[in-house]
Amino acid sequence: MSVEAQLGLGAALLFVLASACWGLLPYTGHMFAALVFLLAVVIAGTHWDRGPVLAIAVICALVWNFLFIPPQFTFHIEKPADVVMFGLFFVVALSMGHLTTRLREREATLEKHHLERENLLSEKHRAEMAAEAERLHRTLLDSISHELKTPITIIRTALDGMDAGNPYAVEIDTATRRLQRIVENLLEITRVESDAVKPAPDWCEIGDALDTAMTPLKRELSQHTVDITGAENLPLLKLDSRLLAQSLANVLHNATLHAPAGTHIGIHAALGARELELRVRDHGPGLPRGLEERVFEKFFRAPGTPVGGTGLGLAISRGLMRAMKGDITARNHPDGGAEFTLTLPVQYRKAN
Amino acid sequence: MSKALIIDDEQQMRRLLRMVLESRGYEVCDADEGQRGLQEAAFHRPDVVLLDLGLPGMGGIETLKRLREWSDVPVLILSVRNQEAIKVEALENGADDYVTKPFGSAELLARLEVIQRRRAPRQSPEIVTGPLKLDLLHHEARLEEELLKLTPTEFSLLKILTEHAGRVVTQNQITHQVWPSQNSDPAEGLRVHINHLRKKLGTRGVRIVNEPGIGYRLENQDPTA
Repeated sequence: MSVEAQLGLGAALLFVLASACWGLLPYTGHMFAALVFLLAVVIAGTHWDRGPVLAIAVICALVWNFLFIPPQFTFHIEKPADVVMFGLFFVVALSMGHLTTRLREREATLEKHHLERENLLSEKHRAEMAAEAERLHRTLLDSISHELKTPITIIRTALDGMDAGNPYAVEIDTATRRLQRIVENLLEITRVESDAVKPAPDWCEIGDALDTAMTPLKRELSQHTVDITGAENLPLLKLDSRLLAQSLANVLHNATLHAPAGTHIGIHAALGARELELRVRDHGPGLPRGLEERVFEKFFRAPGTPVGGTGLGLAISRGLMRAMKGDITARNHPDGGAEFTLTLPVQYRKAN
Repeated sequence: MSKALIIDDEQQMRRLLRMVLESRGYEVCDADEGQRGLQEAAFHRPDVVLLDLGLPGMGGIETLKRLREWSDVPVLILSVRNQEAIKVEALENGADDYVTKPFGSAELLARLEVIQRRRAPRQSPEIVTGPLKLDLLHHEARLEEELLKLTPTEFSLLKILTEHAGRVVTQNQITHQVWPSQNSDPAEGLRVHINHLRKKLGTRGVRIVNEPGIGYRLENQDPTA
């Protein structure tokens, strides 16, 4: 309720009480009116703000004096006892008004604190729940990862024990590697999508990141010639080399899938003011026109895609790059072939 | 004949590793969890231990720590990808190297051989790996008989890598040895020195390979040497 409304309502209440006391005056005497007014002040104090309550207390005192204390209709008081009474009324009304409003204010503060504490507790609880959920999620992922990778390891180790010339063994080997890639990609996309990828930037040489990306693809890349330019003279960069390598490896693998054997794959590194740029260009058929952006969608397979991919590699690459606040884009090179550009904000020092 | 102890909770994995190792002349014992693994290690005194990091109950790291309280047998960690922090923890708690599942048996056997070699007592001031020779008496390094001009830091860096030739050395292990008194994060300095060292080594048979999130490995590219 607004202050004006409280004051208005107070005046109305005062008018009603004063009228009632006026009617009862011949039977009760003027002291009765004083007590009724005091009660009114106390009740107002339990509901309204301090200002209006104190105003009402003052008005009550004045009204009581004017209407009830003899001689009536003057502010003059005849008997010394009534002067004392008036003074007391004034003090009691003001202090009652003050005390009741203060009590209420304190109650309100306490309640507010209580609510704040409850909010805080529930927030803490929520954070704990989120941390617990994340931990559970990670445990689950680790356990699934373990469950899926163990049989693949067993198959691969067992294959190693078989005669390498056995054509069936070769088929099993190829299928197992493919299965392994699918499993790893599925686990990785899950990690990326659940924000479980936490970049840990450290100083590194870009050549190390390229090495890490290319080593697991030795087989696939042996069908192509890979030219690396621009990486030689870059300074040390602060970035998460493992994540960048993983992202790049998926792009390279994609290139080996689409570009015919014997063609060049170019990797060009360049350093801008604040970001590293890696361009991977193949000499394959290029991206289907108009679908340059869609290749980063999960499970997107361009028409005529050769088998061997999982439809996840480029989605993972993008997820990893974005987790590092970078990005990856694709286009068709004006002279043919697909070109992927990985950009990544990096820290480096000019010297050395 | 070498004795190998396999500690892995997957029965099929144990059986298969046993077959691979026995075909190479190893005598093999195994355990399906950490506590039993420790008992087997105490009883059989293996020459090398293959330890799975994902053991149930007392985990791989804990098993390794307990083992290291009384044994310095070479330990090879069997791990899965995306566990860099745990691998580093294992390496810094005394594991000698790791392989990542799924691994091929050639890789596994090669790693096992390398980590067992380190146990031979060193009685000569010379460390040799492939075409690289380090003379600790005169603080000289020679590659294909040619003297390398190294700074003292580069020499001690090359020394720790060569002592661990073929094995991974964590970033912390390197910096503790090369810059024992440095408190600030020496990662950047380490990269700079590795970079210089690589340039001086060129492409003459040995290579310093980076393992992101873990450390470095000096590789001898001519495996017959």
